[in-house]
Amino acid sequence: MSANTANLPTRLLAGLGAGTLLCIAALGWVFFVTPADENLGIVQKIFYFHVGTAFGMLLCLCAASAAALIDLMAPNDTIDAAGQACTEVGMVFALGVLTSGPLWARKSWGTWWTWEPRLTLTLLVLLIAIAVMVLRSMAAEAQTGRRIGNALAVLAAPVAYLIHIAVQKWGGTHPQVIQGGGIQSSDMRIAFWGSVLALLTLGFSLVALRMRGIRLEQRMAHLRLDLSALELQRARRGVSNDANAT
Amino acid sequence: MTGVLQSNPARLSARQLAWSVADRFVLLGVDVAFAAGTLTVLWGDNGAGKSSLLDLLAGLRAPTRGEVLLDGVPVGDVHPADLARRLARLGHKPGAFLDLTAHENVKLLATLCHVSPSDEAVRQCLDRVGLARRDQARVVRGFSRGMMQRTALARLLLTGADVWLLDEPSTGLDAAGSRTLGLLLDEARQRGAAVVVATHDFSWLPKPDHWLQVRGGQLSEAQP
Amino acid sequence: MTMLRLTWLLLAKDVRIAARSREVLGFMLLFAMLCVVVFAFGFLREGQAAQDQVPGVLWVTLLFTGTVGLLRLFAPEEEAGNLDLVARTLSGTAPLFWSKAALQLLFSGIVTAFLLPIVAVFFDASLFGLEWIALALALGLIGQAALGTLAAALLAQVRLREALLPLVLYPLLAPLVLGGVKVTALALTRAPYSAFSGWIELMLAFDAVVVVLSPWLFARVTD
Repeated sequence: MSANTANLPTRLLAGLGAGTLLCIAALGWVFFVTPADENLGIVQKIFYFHVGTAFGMLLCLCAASAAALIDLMAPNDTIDAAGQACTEVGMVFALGVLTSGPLWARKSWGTWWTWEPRLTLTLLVLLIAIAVMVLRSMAAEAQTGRRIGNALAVLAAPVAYLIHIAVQKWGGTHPQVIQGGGIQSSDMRIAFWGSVLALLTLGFSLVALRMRGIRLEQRMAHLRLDLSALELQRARRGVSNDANAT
Repeated sequence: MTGVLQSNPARLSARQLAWSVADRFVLLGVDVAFAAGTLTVLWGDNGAGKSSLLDLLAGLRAPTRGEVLLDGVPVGDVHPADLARRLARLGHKPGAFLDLTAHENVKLLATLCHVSPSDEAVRQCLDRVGLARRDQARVVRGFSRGMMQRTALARLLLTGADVWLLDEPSTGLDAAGSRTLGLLLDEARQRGAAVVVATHDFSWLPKPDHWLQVRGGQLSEAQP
Repeated sequence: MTMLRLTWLLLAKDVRIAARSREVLGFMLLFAMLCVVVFAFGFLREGQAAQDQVPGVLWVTLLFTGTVGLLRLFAPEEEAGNLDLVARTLSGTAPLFWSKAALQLLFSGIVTAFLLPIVAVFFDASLFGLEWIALALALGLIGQAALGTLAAALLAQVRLREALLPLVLYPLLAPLVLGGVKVTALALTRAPYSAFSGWIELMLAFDAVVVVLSPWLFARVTD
């Protein structure tokens, strides 16, 4: 058990390193090997990262919602840490989508922002994730924050699905690259799935790293409590010794 | 201190109760039992944890460690409605809806505790705590603290709670009010309730069965 | 005592309190009026109100006004400090949840009945397709009341709740607002039901989800 724990940071760093290397390799492949798109030019290359980031966001936030449901039914510190880590990394991915999306939109549609369904969904989902985190941190007691944050996260999943339907009925166009035959060569296909794999690896290792951090914070809190108990007991002994001496 | 040993059965007891706020224990390793038909006084410095202890005993907060038992059953396993009826906590907040009259308050809160009193029974209870008839039909918002306390006490009388947890109940009561309060607590004790009072003012109390000092996060039997 | 009777008891209590203090509903009506006036400032072009803004003004005003009511939804229990007593009934927390949701629905329904003619007059719109608009409003207000009651309960245990309620509520209510605005806009142009039936179905689905999930989550956060 102790050897296992000692190895954990090393393994986490190895995972993070692998994710980063994969990302760099994917970047190289995208920019130096893959041909530029015939119609869109070099801007199309954003797509490789844009889609992978969106996948990562969806995975993380779905996992966070599932973890919240489990923790609400049967509280479990590990599940809770996983849920928190997923929420945070999901937010980072969402920010990535909201950065790469407008960059692409600017070049291909001539505007920074359109109320396009998936972009709108990402924005709303990011706001909900922020609400979950803020709600959690604003509660007077940690356990209360955990419960109400989880409750909101559980509600968010089905509602986000309805938001998805709503903005699709409401909104405009989104490039249908995968279905629409936008991937023109096998180089592009490799670049696309390679980027997705790299980003998901990076995301997974970030979640694992953050989870480890949260677990350590939880342990610190327990240790501080134990310390407080020891101090209290020592103070009591001191009091009773004084009483005996007099 | 390992508990107040009684010939009577313990109505409410706590085992190794602990309560922490922001990584610090306020209460730790509290073992205590409050027997039926006893009056216990909790006393101690401000911030010693008297109110927190009463909140934990009333099940308003989940303890960090340990558990609270009502008639030997962990409070988590008691039906919440039974808990609301049998455990009465009188704290610093009024406990009564400010825009209802004293009469409406007592009747509604008793009904929620699945005791459905007649108007006459409500009036009698309010008479007994010494609230004038004309005040009984007044909205509580304009009440003084003492009148508010009387309204809250009337509800406890009506629902016949087994355990009374009172936090500074004499605050704001005049001499007559304190006397009435003392009589009511004595009566509740004789009826077999476990009465626990946290207070700094002992002058009005009927003779307590136990004195417990809250100090250093635990209880010890000591008189001020 | 049945759950229905307990719910009715608590709702009657809240209505009586509201009738005596007249704070919340009066303030909601005033706030709705102010919203419409401010929107008129924003959307008036050369003194001529823009009719095509009517759906947006109506729904956003209802969204904002609902928040005002929700912030005070649990105020009677908080002032009294007896939330535990009211939540611990023989039927669990369900009577508390449904009585509060019904109160919110009642208040926002009254506000809507007052708001609709005002918006129509101020923005010079003829209310065609009123039955469909009413249906959309009913669905919107039910969803807002159910989700809002849960949100208000979550925020009852948190600092800075005035700032946080919109953050929690508005993104989640997006389907209702989008649907409501679309249905209202289409109904006003006398479009047939088939033109917006999809939106009505979506709002129904939303209501079904929050009406089932909110009381369940409410029971888990209130104890």
